[in-house]
Amino acid sequence: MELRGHLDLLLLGTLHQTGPVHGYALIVALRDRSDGAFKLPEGTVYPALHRLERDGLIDSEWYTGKPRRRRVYRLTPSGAAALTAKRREWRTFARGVQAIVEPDVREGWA
Amino acid sequence: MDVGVDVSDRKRPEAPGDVDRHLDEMFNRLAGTGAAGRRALAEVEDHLRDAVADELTQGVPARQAERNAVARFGPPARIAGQLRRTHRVASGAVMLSGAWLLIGLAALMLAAIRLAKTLDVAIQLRLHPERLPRCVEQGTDPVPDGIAACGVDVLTGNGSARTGVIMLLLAVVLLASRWLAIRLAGLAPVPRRFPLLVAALVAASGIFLFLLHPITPYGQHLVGARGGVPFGWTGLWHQIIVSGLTLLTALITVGGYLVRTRQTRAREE
Repeated sequence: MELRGHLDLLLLGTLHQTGPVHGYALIVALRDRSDGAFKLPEGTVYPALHRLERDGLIDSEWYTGKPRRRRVYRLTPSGAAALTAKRREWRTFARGVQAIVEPDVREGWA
Repeated sequence: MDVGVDVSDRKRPEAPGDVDRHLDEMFNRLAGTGAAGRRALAEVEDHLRDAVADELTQGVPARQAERNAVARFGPPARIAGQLRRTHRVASGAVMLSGAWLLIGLAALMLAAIRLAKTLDVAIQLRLHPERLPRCVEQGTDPVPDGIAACGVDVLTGNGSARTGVIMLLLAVVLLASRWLAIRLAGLAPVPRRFPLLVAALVAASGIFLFLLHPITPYGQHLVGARGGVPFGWTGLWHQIIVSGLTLLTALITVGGYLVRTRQTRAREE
């Protein structure tokens, strides 16, 4: 499934669920929680993470653990607020698409 | 030349695997990106090593595990290009943020200097009230009694006091709007070493202010000396206080930077 335009929401949502986590674990969580629905080059997640950090929605720091130190990302309060706003947008968008693509199946999109 | 190594025992270097080749290409493509590139490269290496380790635990042969990890990661040219674009925008935003802060701080410092000058004049008038009527009568700039001329400024609301208040308002607007831009619009904060630049500029301005003013008291005023022409009619004590305050500000800024750096290092360790 094409992820363009929704990657920020997915990353913020996954970080919200996992708590502080490093890049690889975040990608694994994204893959597992979506049942492998999204096909994206895993490397594209890092520019997105750096962009979200630049915008103040997440922050990160080096965490020294085994077997090596890692960059661990976490949601900031601004990121949590942005996630809430993006969820609202997503629901509106999904309702609109649903109404057009499958007009007979509108249950559950209240 | 005997270098103490038995060459016959030396193993041939192992051919680089897919992961190493991928990392080499990322390194080349991220050249010149500084700390952001180094950090990205470290993250990419972590990612690929983790991905290979995962595959190995599932029984995938080593070479195949590397091939799969690299394939899933995506082409280095694409990822490095995206990282470069992200940090190019970021460095522009950081420069804007830094310039915004610097102008705000400069306005604040000018406000402090002008208000200190106003205070200087007010105190001198209190010490030499006999000069005020003469100055008001003349209504012009009486060179021999420069302090009295400044007194007119204070009383009429012109000159230093007005400039100081305007600069103070400007500084408040600039610093508050920048704070809001960071909180609400996601403006980038300044780099960690930015306080050092501010400290250097503030210290330099303090030295500049002190050196460019005559230290010898002028005329009959012991410390409320006439200042140099470019800076108007300020006294020596005012110069000492302003220069001292700017140097103290510089020292506090450097101290704050060192404490913050130590805290960050402690957290990272």
